[in-house]
Amino acid sequence: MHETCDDPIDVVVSFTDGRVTPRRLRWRGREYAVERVNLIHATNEGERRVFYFSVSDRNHDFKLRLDTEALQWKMVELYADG
Amino acid sequence: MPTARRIIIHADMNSYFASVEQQANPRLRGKPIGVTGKRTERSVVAAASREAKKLGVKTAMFTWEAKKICPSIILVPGDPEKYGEITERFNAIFRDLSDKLERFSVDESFLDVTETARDYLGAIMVAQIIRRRLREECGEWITASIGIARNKLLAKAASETMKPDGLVVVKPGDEIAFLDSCDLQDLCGIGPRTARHLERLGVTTLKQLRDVTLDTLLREFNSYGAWLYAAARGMGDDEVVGDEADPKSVGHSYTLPRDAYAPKTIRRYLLGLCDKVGWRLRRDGFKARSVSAFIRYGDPSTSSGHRFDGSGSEHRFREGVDDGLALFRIAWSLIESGRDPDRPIRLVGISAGTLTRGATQVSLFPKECRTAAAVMALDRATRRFGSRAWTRASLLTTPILERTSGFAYDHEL
Repeated sequence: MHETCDDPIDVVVSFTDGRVTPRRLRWRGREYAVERVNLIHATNEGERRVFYFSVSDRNHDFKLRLDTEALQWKMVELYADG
Repeated sequence: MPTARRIIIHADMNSYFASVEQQANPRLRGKPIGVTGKRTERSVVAAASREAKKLGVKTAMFTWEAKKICPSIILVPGDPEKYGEITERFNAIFRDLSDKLERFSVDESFLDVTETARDYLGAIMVAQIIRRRLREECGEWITASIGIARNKLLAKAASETMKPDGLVVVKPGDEIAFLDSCDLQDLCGIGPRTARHLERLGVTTLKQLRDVTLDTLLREFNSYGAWLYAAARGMGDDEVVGDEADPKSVGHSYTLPRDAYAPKTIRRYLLGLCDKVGWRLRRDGFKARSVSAFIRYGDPSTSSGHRFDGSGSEHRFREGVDDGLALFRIAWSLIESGRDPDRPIRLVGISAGTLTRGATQVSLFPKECRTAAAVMALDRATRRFGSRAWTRASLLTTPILERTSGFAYDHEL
């Protein structure tokens, strides 16, 4: 299953060595533990810096968007079995 | 005057766009995938994963052909900004480890490591550090094939011989033996057309090419014959050229979502492209003194495209131009003067050339002053909010999507 969306989410992160790493996220009332960070990349939307985190838990692969100006996390893509 | 022997590394990222997608999404790993343009149905495979390549899918193949050959292929719309960021990341690694870096394309770079590596053992160490840092900083799925040799021609051929994740060294003295293990078309610069021409001369291997005299090659291929003569002997350019030089032109082309006959449709896409080129000129402080336009027809005729060159005296600008609308007016007149109205247009393009740097001259005419002020305000909006900050009302229904191309990223251009 592949779904694209634009849902605000809550994310618990760790700050280590100047890096932000998502650890847990809450989306549509469910909590997911991030097991792997597959790729982090950033884009510029004008002067605004936006980071994308491609992360996985045991059964899902997520793409999260962090707007560094609005300090807002969003779920933008989800892959899951089935 | 003889120059010191150089040590050149060519790093070629394996199945680059597809590998980045597989790095980001583990569900795609081990599967045949093809990265396409924004519209997968009217696109080509910009990059096939190594699994798709094994099943016969090739880069630049139409998506419908890829589906036919490999029905299980997963087509993924390209994400140029993602690839652009990873390109920056691996080039930063290369820059750390070399004296000079030349970005040959979005997924290939040449490194001059003569000073940093000092000898071939040092160059192998550099290659191993590149592999480790790629794994750590880009991800385990993103790998490069690396060739090491005394010039760019041999280093590139070496990297081609072992994929993925290969490391091939052509030691001094081994050049001819290495070339004799290569096919003609393994050399960058010998394409299918040249190979066919050589075959007509009875040449199908690089060894046979060495037996052809320089006179014969010059007669058959003009000045390119001299390059062939040298290439067959492993001689080639060893100068790694940095990115400091100014561009010679700024251009943009676009495949329309549907083939179009209507001038209004073609005009709108051309205007959108001209606005993009104008913005890039202004952003980088250039003005264009000439413009050329390009179309490709969508029907299966033998003549597939036309370039309309405006660099001749009658179409050259007297003053440098950096405004999209001014570029558009000339480009459209060039296209209209040569377009066959009975044939559908698939692709439209523009290139602004003869670039100069310099301050904008302030016009004495109020209308031109108002236009210049409006353009400056729009540029400020673009800098602040990005390239989607504004569009002309006439282009609201004509969005130009970013391409996933082989040589540069639209968002960087």
